[in-house]
Amino acid sequence: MKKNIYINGLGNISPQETFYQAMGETVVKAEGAFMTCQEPNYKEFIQKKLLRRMSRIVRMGLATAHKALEDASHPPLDAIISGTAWGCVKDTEKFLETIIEHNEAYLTPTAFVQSTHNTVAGQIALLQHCNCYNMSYVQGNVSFESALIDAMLLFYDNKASNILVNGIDEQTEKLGILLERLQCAKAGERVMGEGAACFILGAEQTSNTYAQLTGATMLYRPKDKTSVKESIQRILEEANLDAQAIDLVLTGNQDQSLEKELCTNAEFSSYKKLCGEYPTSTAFATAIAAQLLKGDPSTKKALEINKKDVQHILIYNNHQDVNHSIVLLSKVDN
Amino acid sequence: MSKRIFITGIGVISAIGKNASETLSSIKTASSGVGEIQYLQTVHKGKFPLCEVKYDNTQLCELANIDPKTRITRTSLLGIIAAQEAWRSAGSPVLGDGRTGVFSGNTVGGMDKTEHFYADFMQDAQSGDIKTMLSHECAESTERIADSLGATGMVSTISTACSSAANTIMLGARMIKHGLLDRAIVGGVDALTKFTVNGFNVLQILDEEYSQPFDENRRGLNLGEGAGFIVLEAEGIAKEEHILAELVGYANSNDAFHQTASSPDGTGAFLAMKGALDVAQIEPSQIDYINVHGTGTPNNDLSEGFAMQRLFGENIPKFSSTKAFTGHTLGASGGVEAVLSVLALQNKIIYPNLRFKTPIAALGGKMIPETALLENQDLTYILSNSFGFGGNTSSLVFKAYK
Repeated sequence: MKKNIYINGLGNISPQETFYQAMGETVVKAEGAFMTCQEPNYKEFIQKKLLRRMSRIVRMGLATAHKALEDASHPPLDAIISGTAWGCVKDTEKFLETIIEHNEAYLTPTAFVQSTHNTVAGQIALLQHCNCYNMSYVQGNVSFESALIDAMLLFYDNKASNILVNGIDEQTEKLGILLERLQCAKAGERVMGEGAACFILGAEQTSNTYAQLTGATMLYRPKDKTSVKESIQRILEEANLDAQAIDLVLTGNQDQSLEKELCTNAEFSSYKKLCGEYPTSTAFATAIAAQLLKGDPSTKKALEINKKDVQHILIYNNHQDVNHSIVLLSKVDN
Repeated sequence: MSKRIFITGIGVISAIGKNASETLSSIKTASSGVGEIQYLQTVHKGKFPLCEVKYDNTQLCELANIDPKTRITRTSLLGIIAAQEAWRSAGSPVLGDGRTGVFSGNTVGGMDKTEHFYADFMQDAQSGDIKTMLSHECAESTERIADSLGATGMVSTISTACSSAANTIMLGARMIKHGLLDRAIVGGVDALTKFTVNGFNVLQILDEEYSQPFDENRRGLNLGEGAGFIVLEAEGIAKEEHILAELVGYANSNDAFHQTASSPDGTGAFLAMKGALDVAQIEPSQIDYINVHGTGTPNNDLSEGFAMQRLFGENIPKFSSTKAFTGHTLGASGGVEAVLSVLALQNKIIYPNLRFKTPIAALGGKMIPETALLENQDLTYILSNSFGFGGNTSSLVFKAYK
């Protein structure tokens, strides 16, 4: 049943310089209500003629998949599982605008075809020639967690040795306007972000292993604080840990009372100052936690962590008390 | 040994009825849901037919027992109606203990409302009812469904195009097998939107006439809308008197051929069907009926037909596409067809593939679907296929509970 699962490769595009190195020397700070990704030179991984037709989210999704696979030395994949809340926003807007502008005429298929939420997972399968299990989760702020849990089940079922999992969301100018009108985005108060983080999870540890994925769960409308605490404790117990073993909590929350009551030995760091607020931000948190557990000093610096030795990291994100996300990562001996 | 997964409830709404019994009687009387566009506001009215659910949103609110003044999408309304029916038919179990999951599939979420908002928004970025956008995301209808049932276990949404609902059924079963849940309400929903209709139209795969799945002269598909949900319960939780059927096989794979087209040899379809039989631990010869994906597009039916020949050889089981009745309900189709599979097992019937005339020559002219309602059939295993854009292919195996 339960099994060890390792993060053996990753690719991370974020508002920080996280693609070509674990973390840039200078931390980028939010100006205004939005943070946007620092994107790589896509021509390194994607053919020019394909690139032209791809929206940013598809580019980010494919580049991070490419990077993660390369990082993990290209293991054969048994599953590709994607998490995205907003999906392919740009192409959705494009197709919708043409429909409205031209009264349902003069349409071209490209934007429609690339607007579907499974575009990135499908494109990865296509480019990697992978007939394997392929899934796309679109559950708002727990889209990435849904993907992680699915991957864990496949490992437990002995259906997989290596799985690609990602969490991806893109901002657009129009989405920005909508988020400001909804008061989700507010300069200085609530900075919205975006990002693409991709992982190769493996059943075996390798020389490149970043960390062990020791647990993940998501809660829907938990009835009170106690039941959230109980769920976190259950995840810890399953990993043979107690709350005191947590060295670092990467928290996505304004109100951090719950995690502070529970994890009394931990340091706390708000990861969203680095990536902004977006539905799959926990994928970014997972990527930087993995880097940190592998001993990357620049990530530690960016998160302002003082502890010398970090063994166990809890990522906790509570979205409006509707969707709660809990991910637990542990250091491995290399 | 791992737990068996029982189906204890079914609920469906589509162009052929607002619940399971209406759906069944429409099929028995060969009444298709396809017809001229009545409800969707589109310039294509009169140019090609659709399979619309024959109620406007106010009437759907009544059916869902929701105040018509509520801000709610057609997607959520259809989903709530079908999921509530499934839950009631399972004996209305209490769901608030965190052990019941709700997993739903859809392709465009609340797009039916978004496209209205967007017309205002494009005139002036500050105009339009901004709260509309809160119901745009795919997850919103799933959460509305979960809330309407009071379910507090895991809630998630899958969007793998036309295989979305089939994948939620698979997910629910796997979660129960692992003991993460006792029960899952699974399926999918999609409402017709201008977005989808124009998307399929520009891909040139819509039939301007009534579709003819698996026919040599098929021209494309008729889009439909609706929702289909089933209740899965673990062995030991399911009450004997509510057990309708058993879910014994499921598999998901990817065609990895083209973003929208199926591979000529049906690799993904073959792998999904084969995988589902392997999970069920049965031989191809044990399948009594296949509810095929059978959209009616030249590409799908050919590719699916080849995959069936590859798996079943000369002995292709009885098969039919029910999309000639319901239209292609996209993200809901796997849920709608799961309900139809359970109804077929319960009633010992096989559905007719309406409007079929000529077998597809490229498939050897031998693949002839059932064209009349077959009764008193000894059915044990039914295979149900759902394939989608992005290469996503999934198959499920249902077993009669005897």
